[in-house]
Amino acid sequence: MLALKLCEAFRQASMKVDVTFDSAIFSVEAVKKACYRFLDRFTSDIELCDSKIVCHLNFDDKFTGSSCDAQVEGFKKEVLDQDLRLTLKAETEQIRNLILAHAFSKTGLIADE
Amino acid sequence: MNEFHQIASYKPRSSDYQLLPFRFTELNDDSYVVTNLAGEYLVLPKHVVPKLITHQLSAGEPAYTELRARHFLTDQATTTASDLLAIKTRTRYERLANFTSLHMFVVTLRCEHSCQYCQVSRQSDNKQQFDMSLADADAALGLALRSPSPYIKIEFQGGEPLLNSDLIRHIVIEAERRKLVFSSGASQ
Repeated sequence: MLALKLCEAFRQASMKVDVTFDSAIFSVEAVKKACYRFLDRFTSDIELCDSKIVCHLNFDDKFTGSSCDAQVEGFKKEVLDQDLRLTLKAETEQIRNLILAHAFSKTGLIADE
Repeated sequence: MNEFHQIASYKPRSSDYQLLPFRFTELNDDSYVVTNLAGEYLVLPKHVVPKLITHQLSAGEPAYTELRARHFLTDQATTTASDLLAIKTRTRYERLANFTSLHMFVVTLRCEHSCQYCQVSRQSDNKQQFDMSLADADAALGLALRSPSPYIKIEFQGGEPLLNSDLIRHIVIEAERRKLVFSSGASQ
């Protein structure tokens, strides 16, 4: 019984935080990539509500109030970074493929079209 | 009378560069490290990376020349940047073209020595069940010879490989029979 109560107390102690992003500014892909990076710290339920991307973050038990705040700040920065990476990818993907094709054009690793 | 334009008009505008593919990740609170296909890297202050990617980086900024020299961006001054990056990329990934040329044959785990630095779980001299079998050696040789590399290198390891010298002799003769040219040196 005591063990059950302790277990319940721990369950209640695990932190839950909602973080919202504007879908006109950030893509779902950027948010998902950021969530993957933080998988060792929290799991995330992502949902689209109107023009908002809402992330329900469920922190591991080891995180408490202040450490959660720091993680949320880090998460927001990571979303920004992921957004920037997508911008970079969109601009450079074509030349990246050309460079790789050029680099390996005589290796036989690229099948003839 | 003809006149020169003001010096500013000869400088590239900040958006006059094209990005080349690269990755970036946080190094610490103040810096990102950026890397590219060729293995070039730079450590940049955090504010530089968003400026770079959104084409706000001015040619006059200290990072600009380094970024251009290491193929993170290209502009009118570097028309061969993508070619150079391709050559560096090819060199860096050259091993992929011929797969591996090094093949290690652990012909036995037996060893009569007890060297302190050795990491192998050696077996005593009389435990011949820890020798590679003839069938395994033939199969492994077949696998090694499937390598697309024009030259291959076979290393005999153990244990003390010479405790199974009959098998080594067999592998060498069999490899020669299959028209593989061996030399006394390591690689060919």
